[in-house]
Amino acid sequence: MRALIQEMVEQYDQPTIVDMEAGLEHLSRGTIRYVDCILIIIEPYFKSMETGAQLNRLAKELEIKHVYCIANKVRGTEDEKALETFCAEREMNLLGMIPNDDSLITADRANLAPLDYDANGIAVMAISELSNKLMNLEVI
Amino acid sequence: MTKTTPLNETSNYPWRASGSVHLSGQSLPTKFAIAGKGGSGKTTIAGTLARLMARKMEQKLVAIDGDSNPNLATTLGLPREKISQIVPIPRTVVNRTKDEYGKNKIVLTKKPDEIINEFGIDTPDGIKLLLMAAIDHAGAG
Repeated sequence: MRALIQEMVEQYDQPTIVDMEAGLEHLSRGTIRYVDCILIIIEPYFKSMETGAQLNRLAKELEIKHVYCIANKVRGTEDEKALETFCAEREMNLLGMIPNDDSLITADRANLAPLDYDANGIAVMAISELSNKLMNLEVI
Repeated sequence: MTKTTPLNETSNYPWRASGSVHLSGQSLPTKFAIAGKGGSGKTTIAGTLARLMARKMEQKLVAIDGDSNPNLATTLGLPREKISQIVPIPRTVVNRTKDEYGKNKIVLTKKPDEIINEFGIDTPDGIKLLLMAAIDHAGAG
């Protein structure tokens, strides 16, 4: 499975997005080296941020051009500050933060994609802004 | 090239994604991988991001679910009935061979375009989803 992903990503030249296996293995083995952007999802607690820092380091070692962190499930300014401080210390590029949004749980229970459940949900809006950043479109 | 500027004050709007990395127009990425711990929301973000980016792109976006616990189909908006109908990618799309040094090498037996056309699942916003964990392991090679 990993080899197939590696070959597909290397050879297929059109826009691609890969939801990787959780954890460090893909990056430590370098099977994902042919992407030009890694988005590392972190949550505002230590273990998650620490894993993010390791993923960040591995991704940079693979010389992937764009390596960004996205903070998820952020609840308020304490979380924001903790994330900003940690990322600054560990040289992690924080692309943005997604607020905690309970409607995602409801969407999951209804077996709906968050975007289809509520296109104006706060998490979806934040992800939309991130998509604009990644495509360098004008952010409102 | 990315530029990191000093961080902003607290967000004005609850959904504003604070963080001040800006991408230049010249080297926009087209191939993305989403990484993170299990439970971080990685798959939800991957699926939602894919849908939103696909709407703004001219080209078709291919989404690859590389998680052994495949949930990307749901976050992409594929209904449950369709998910249960997904045909597994057969083992025959890859072939184990050896390179000139005798080391194990994996090659594709079909071109990426062919794999996408044959096994890609259509999801909303014109995305083609490839489900890797559905690779049929019957008949070890």
